[in-house]
Amino acid sequence: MSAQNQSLRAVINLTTTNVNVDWNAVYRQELPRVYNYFRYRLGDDALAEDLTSATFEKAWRAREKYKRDLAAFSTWLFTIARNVAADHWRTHRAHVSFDALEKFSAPDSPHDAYVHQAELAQLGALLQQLNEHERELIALKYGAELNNREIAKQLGMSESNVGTTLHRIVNKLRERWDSTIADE
Amino acid sequence: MDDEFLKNYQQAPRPEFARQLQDKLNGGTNMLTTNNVAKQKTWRHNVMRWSPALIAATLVLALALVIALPPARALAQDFLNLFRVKKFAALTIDPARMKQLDNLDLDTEKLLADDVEILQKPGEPTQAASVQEASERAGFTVAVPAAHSNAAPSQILVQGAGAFVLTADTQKLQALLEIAGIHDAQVPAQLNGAKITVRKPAAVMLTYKLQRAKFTLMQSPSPEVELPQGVELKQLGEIGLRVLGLSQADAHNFAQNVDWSSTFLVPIPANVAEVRQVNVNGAEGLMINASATAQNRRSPYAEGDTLILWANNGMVYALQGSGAATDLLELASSVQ
Repeated sequence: MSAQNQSLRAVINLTTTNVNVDWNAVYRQELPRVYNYFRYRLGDDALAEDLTSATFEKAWRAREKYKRDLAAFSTWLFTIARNVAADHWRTHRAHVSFDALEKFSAPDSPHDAYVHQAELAQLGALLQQLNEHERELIALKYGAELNNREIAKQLGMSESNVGTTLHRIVNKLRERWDSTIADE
Repeated sequence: MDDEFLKNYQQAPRPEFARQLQDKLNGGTNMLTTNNVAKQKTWRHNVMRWSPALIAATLVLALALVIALPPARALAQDFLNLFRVKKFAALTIDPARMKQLDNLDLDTEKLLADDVEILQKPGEPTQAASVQEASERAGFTVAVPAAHSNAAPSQILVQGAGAFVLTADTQKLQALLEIAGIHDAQVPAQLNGAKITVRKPAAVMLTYKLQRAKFTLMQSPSPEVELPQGVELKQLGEIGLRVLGLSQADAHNFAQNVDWSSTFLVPIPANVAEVRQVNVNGAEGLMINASATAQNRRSPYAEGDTLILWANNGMVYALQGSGAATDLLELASSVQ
């Protein structure tokens, strides 16, 4: 169980029959994870907000049924988030892709690209160069901070395969990163 | 590149977005449709940068960019205004303490209303047509960054001078300390009835929106505080430090080592900003980056802004921008 889910369990008392759920606490806990999942996935802050809204609205309408099975809430929430992302890709693929690339490849102003931000922009650009499956894995791992077991469950992969694939993707990112640095 | 670096790409959702979405989920009236999130974002950035409330205050209020919790901000200002500003120093404080102060929901302005006499109202900030006009109205020569001396600011705002007298009521101040959870600090008895006069000179804010640089420079002569004899700044400072969450021992030790007559103490929650000392044309300054720390990615303070504070020749300056830290520092050093 990830640290986030342990934390989630802390705000939700699973041991009682009549569970008193602090949904505000759940919201505060899950919002940054869902939001960052979309940021890593799509590379656009405003879009990440839109899709985060859509995810929570869908989840909130049916959240009551998770009162007795809140350990599954996070998993369920990210299933919704992934569906929302997939729907968006189907209808806006070219637009999103173009915007994201344009955004991340344009830190040419000295004032807009101080060192830390420039590095993050560079990372953003590299993420956008990954294929969809790779980006999904990275978004779940580093944006949503799911552990490999949770990612495996989301993607229907084995846990070891998730670990191996992530290792390969990070190596790829590292090589491209080093290559970019060397070119500069 | 490692796991930590990959996680650095995370950022906290905007507080306004988080709040509005929560309102919506809770069935509140403050609805936010998905289609206008981007507009809200733009609006919010404008507010952050151009809000009259932001402009209206002196440079002291620039610190509110970092200390976003209103009651804590008010406390910090009440506390900090007691000093003449010759240099800035950072004080890292526990964010949990800031949250505690926030939860108290103290309206210090209202609580102390009977004790405050306004001598001069600063009024609303008003636009000036030129730097020269701003200088004339503010009563000092407005400095500009030499690197952009030929560029006209996109906006020039002048905030008038203000002054007030606070008549200290030790009983009330003691009660405030109790409310703030400080039970082992005593407001000095000799403070009762003491009149503390705070004068905030006029301030000017220049905003530049150039093709390759967007920044705001605020400047003002140092605020002046007149304290009656017998009021121990060190003692008051120590109490202020307690309010900000320092232990009795830490507050005492810290208080002993600060030149309270000239140091503008900037309380900074540990998880919201990275702070470092910088040298601005020989003056000791602070550079505060509100989103540089890894811990900050989960905080509600995910601003990309950098704020440089420094004082020189009786003037205090604040330069706010989102560019490279080195460029901003160079810009600050060119202010003349």
